[in-house]
Amino acid sequence: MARIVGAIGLPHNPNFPELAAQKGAEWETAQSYRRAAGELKAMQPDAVLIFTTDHLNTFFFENLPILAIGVGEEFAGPNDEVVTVSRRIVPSREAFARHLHSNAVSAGFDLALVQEFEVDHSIIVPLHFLTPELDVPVVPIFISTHNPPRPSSHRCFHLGEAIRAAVEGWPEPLRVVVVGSGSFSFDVHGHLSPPGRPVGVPDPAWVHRVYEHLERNTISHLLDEATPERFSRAGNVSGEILNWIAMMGAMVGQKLSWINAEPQFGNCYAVWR
Amino acid sequence: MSIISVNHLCRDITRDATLRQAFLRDPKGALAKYPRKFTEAERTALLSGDVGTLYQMGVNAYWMGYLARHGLFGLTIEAYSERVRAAAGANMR
Repeated sequence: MARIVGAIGLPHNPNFPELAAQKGAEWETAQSYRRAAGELKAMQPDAVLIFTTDHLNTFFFENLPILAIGVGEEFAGPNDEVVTVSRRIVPSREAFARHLHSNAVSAGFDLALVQEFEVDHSIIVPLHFLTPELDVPVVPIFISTHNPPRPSSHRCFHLGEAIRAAVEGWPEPLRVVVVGSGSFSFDVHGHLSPPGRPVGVPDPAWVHRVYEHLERNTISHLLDEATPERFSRAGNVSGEILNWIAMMGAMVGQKLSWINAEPQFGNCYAVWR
Repeated sequence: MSIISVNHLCRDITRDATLRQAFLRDPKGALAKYPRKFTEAERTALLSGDVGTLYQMGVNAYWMGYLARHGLFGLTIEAYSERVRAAAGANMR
């Protein structure tokens, strides 16, 4: 059967590839991504499952699924601007993704089916650093975490559990790494950005709080504290932590092997193996 | 109502450089030609760069911010920031 062999949480800020190119290999953020990429490689993945949030590029307000899964042999991206990153084709695993979709719906998680789709920086930026050769198939699971109403933290954790069960019901012996992508405190073009600035980190204390919960493995407390009220103070994209929470639901007792916080960006990087 | 039209416009001017240039040259004319319906309140707010009112109407901020990044409707990053923050403050009072 397939199994989850590890998990990686990291952000997807669209300017990071450009900054990494400018600042070089010694830049702390580049080092964090490089560390995560090394850990991923060591896990020898046959597939990556990524929980992430589309920024109204794959979807729009005509049809905005709370939960969705991409099912196809491949997908393209980025379909938004990521400076220094050109549009590429990412391989996927269609039959495996279809199995996850079917089993998640049977378990009570009504994922929207997405086919012949493109993705934005929320998937391509992590892949730019994790698998620059795009040599590992990727199945995306989209969680709507920006535009309220968002799914609850507990719902997202249980989604991860359902996905893990579905992975374990797949007959091929695939090694699957689950990725959760997003920032913990970040505001884009909203009223929580600092005066005169387009973006900012309004709630660094929340970043530290989440960091502590991850480090101490007090996930039930994190679920209780990751509320709409907290998101209303942590920035209009801070709900992206729900992608990490779904990832944690999918883990099977892996231990935290490395974590790094970059509170100036509202972000953390972490690996469980 | 049709706030979705404003959301579409904010994304379209980012994705389509030709459309963006048309809006930079002649905002009123370009808005009249843009193939979506707007309410009078939306049209007035857009043409006057009143992003505070649009924010209170529930426009998606992620995309609306690109109006300021591209300097549309007379906006600057600073003016955008001031108006959105003032609108949120007004809501909270």
